[in-house]
Amino acid sequence: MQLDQVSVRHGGATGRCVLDAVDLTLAPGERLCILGESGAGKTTLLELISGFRRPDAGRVRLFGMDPARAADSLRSRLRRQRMGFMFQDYALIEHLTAAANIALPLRLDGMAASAAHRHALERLADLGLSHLAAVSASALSGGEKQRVAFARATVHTPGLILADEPTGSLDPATGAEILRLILARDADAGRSVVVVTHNHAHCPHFDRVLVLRGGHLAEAGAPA
Amino acid sequence: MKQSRPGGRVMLRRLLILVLVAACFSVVLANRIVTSAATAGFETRIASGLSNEAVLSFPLIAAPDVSRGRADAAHIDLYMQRAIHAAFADAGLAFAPFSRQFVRLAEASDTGQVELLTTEPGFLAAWGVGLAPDVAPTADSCLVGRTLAASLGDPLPQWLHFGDRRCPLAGVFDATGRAPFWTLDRAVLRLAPPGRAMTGETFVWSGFLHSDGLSFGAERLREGLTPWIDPDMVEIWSSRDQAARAAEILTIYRFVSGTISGIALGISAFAIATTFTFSVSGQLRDIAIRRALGATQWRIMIGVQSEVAGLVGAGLGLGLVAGPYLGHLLLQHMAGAGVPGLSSEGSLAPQYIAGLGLLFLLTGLIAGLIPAITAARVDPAIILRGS
Ligand SMILES: Nc1ncnc2c1ncn2[C@@H]1O[C@H](COP(=O)(O)OP(=O)(O)OP(=O)(O)O)[C@@H](O)[C@H]1O
Ligand SMILES: [Mg+2]
Repeated sequence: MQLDQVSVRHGGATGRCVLDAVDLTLAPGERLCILGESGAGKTTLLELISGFRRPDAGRVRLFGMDPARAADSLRSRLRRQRMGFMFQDYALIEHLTAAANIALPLRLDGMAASAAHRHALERLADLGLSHLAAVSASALSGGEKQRVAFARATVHTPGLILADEPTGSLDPATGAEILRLILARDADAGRSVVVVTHNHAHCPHFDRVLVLRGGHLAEAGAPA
Repeated sequence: MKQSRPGGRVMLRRLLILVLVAACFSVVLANRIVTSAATAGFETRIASGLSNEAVLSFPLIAAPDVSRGRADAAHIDLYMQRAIHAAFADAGLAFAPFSRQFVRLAEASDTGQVELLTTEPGFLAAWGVGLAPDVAPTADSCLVGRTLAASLGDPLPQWLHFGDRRCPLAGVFDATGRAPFWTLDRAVLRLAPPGRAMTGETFVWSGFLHSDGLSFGAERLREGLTPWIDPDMVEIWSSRDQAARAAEILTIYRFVSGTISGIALGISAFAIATTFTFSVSGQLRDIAIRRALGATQWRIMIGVQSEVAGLVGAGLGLGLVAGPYLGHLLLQHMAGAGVPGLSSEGSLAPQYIAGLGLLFLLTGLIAGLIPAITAARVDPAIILRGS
């Protein structure tokens, strides 16, 4: 994944520059933390990487394509095959069961319902959450929701996981547990991870930590 | 794919759409059945090569011998058979009556000259002209009009005698207002007072005049029948013209029901567009999640449209059950509705059902485009921003 002189302005050409000619390269398997104050543009950066937003200048390259400029079908395929998402508010479909939520990326990619369900159950079993399979997402606790969201983000073995404040709504212990899951190098070691957060406590566990400030990305520890 | 579980209000609206589509579809199908019943008789005769066939109609007054004295359906038919046999004895002509219309009942009643006795009140009742027998008539009972009833005295006799036939008198009908058409298949005319013929346009007798091989011009038919039927009052049609005429009689009926079902279809389309737009707006988050996880815009649209199609499909299914039922119900009420040759059997070609179903489905899908496009345009970024 590569960002090349990427800029984003909110509110048109005269608006505030949230990202100012940002360069970023992510190596395969690298686990990157992007720190930043509230309003620094962390979410904006994730939107760029996931192709939800077009940069006002510069270029994003992801698995050999520019997601913002690709056709919807290609961009969507990229998301459902190569990317896994986690969000602060979990983004589970509330009226579906945990298993159905986890099966969703596989279903969207055309897998038959029964096979997708089986994979979802296996994924739940891996995480020791088999007892939640038939529970409606709306009935889960926050920690359980984020575990299910993690299962959903990884069920299709994506090459890249993007997470926006994945621990933001959780107590420290649960948050640390979720982070451990995200950063674990077990089955799929080649997986890259980008986590954006304002929580410095997470930093030590990452391969690299960048700070987003004033529209620029800097190595952690560099002068403010 | 099911997008979300719809709320109660949406469910109610969907139910409304279901009912609308079903009603609309069934009315159009019923319509088709009635129309096909009206023309089928002619069409089959035309198709089977009865090109020498003429359709002959005349008011009863044109047949002076019939219009004096006792005149029931069988009597008039017999009269025609005899007339035709006498006129064209060696030509092998056969007369097959198909319609015995009773026109302008009220007018006739007012003059006191003609009364109708009938054992089939269904149609009059259906047209709301105030037929209210005290006793439900049976197959061989009869009703009398109010003018005749007045002349029969009070209380009414229990029986009426027609020649050697004795009919239980089931009741009196009051045929005021616009008179309907009425067939006389099992009806009996009262004895007209001596010297007073029936009024002109009261009864029209129609039948197929069929010959094996020989071709008669209308003029020759008219001339030949002159001693029995006043030639100036006979209408002679080809079967084809008659089929067209039958269809024409139904034009207004079809126009009205067509317009109503068109409006109902329009309302269904509107309801589909608004209901699904409403339900999409209640599912923005779910749709955004799916988009973020990699559902294409196309897939989201298909998700909405398949729900629309399911609903319309269910409506069509209901309509398909109700339509033929409604059609045959209408036919029962219209039996003898002045539609010459109306057979009791209407039919629906499978191609017609399929074509019509497709039209409904397309209309639904076009209406569904608005919510489908709305759904496809949902920005997946909204889940990042929590709005
Ligand atoms: N669509 C938009 N129009 C105008 N301004 C926007 C828009 N989206 C974001 N912004 C602004 O851009 C800035 C960066 O927003 P962003 O959400 O990326 O910050 P963030 O680092 O994720 O903050 P937080 O930690 O609070 O989530 C904020 O000042 C925000 O108000
Ligand atoms: Mg944010």
